[in-house]
Amino acid sequence: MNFFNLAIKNLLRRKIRTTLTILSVAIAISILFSLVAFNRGYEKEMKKELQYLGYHILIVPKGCPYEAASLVLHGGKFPRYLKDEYVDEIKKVPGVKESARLFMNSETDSLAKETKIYFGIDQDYLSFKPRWKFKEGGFFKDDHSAVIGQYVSEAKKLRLGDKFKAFGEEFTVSGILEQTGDQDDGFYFLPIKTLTRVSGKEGLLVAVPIRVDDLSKIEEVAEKLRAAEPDMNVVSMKEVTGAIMGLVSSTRVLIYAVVLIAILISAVGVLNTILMSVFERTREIGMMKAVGSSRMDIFRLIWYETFIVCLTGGLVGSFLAVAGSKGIESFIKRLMPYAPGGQLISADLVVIIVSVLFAVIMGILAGIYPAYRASNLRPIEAIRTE
Amino acid sequence: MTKELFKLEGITRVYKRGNEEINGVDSLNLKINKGEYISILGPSGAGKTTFLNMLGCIDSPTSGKLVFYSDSGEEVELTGMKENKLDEFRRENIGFVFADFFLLHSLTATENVELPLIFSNRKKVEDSYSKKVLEMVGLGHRLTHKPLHLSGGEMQRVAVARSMVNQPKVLLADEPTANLDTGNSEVIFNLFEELNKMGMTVVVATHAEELAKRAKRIIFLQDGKIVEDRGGK
Repeated sequence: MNFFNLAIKNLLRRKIRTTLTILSVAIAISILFSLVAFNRGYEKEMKKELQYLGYHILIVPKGCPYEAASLVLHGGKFPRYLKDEYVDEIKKVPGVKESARLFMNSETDSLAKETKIYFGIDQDYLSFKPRWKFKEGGFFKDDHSAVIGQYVSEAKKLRLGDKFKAFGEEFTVSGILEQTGDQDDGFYFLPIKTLTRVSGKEGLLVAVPIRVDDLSKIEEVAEKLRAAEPDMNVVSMKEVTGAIMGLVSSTRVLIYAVVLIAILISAVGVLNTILMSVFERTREIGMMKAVGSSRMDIFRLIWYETFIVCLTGGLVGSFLAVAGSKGIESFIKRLMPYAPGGQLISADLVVIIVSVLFAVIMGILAGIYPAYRASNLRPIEAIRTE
Repeated sequence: MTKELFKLEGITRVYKRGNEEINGVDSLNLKINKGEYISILGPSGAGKTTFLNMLGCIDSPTSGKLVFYSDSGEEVELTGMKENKLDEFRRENIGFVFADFFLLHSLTATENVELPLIFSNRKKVEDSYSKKVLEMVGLGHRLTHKPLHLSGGEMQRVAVARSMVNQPKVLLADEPTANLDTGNSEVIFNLFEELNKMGMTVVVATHAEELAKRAKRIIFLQDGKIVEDRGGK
């Protein structure tokens, strides 16, 4: 037997209390773990998503440019539109290398309680999607062709050549995309002219993605575009990333405040449990002193007990968070603005180490006072305690 | 080489109970020699426990001087010694046996005996020694039993084994048979005799006059003072 074993045996004397204390630490640490992992995953996925878009500049209708940019990213119904003829003006602006027309509409199936997002595109759009690969088929063959994402194909059991109805007209699947890992997996892509017509918005667009010749001149080109046509919003993707990350940061502050409170409550719980056990064992501590333990020995013993509780809680909490990451992810996704696709909880080794380390630090701090109290008991007073 | 182990000069311990001051022990002057077997007799409140607590350094006197003589004859003044030094002194020289046994119920008999070894960092060196000591007190067949599965007499024998395991110079027993029947009390006092024969100084505080008489020296205490020192030189 050694100090460590003795500490474990002491904790096992009060199994229920120890288990509950470990559980409270585990809950606090699993919250911390999930949120740290989520933050890392969110930033990573958001950056990846923006990178995959391949746009340098996005032109959207007047109004809140970030709302429009987000709608382009994640789909939805647009409240305002751009005129198709703007594209010709855009193409003339020096520095613009490529541009494409985009339209978007959605259709809600009230019976199935789902909304389908339709993206109107043309051949030009393919230059913005160099990562697209067709699993089956290819691009549009006619006005009523459709390209679908992999998720749509699996969820709706749509194969190449299958037909489906949208806005009262029939479309045939001409191509199925390989998994992209982003929002494209869940979209229906239709010929832009057909989609604008069936939506009653002929000659209108929701966005024009732009790629520039020289990456260092994005802002310069954006300024020229703003001057060319005042009736459109010119948003560089750097600005969009910054705005979304700003929103994430403010949400993060709130989340960390909640985590901090959970951890504080848990730390006070640990302190209370260990302190209670010190009071209950006052005579026992007196005996230990009488048989030769030093102050440091008693401090070490009580401190080990706190450390073991918190370390176990940290490990259990991390395990619980990893095991429940899918559920936690979908829960947090609903709370967060503009959640990107992909895996949002990035539970790598760093997050595990940070969470367990946090639990250990909590143990070290929470254990100091009870250990100090116990080690300072005078043997005679401790033995006399009833 | 000196034959003295302890020297007490005017040892007084005053306790405060509200505004009242009570003398636990009052001006004790005494010498205890190495290898002595002493019984402390006296009614409740006579100061027997206080006297043992002073010798064992788990309480400090209000006034007076307590001196311990090391093997080399060096005089070590225990009064006024720092807490960490006293811990060390207790660990190396004192074995305590209490009326209430004070065994940890979550530990086996062997583990209870090992406790002082853990505190003195001698666990690894003398891993099997605790088992030997338990065999010495007749509990070789109870090594892995927990206190709740032992009789009162067996529990006290585990406590005696625990007090011996660090091979202290002196064993202090405070009413060691208070919670035991006559048969088990006999066993415990036989153990003390054997330990004394092996050279250990034994000081036992007890109510039981018949058992106390087995010691070579009996000190009678009353109201914190020594009223008789029978067999003392």
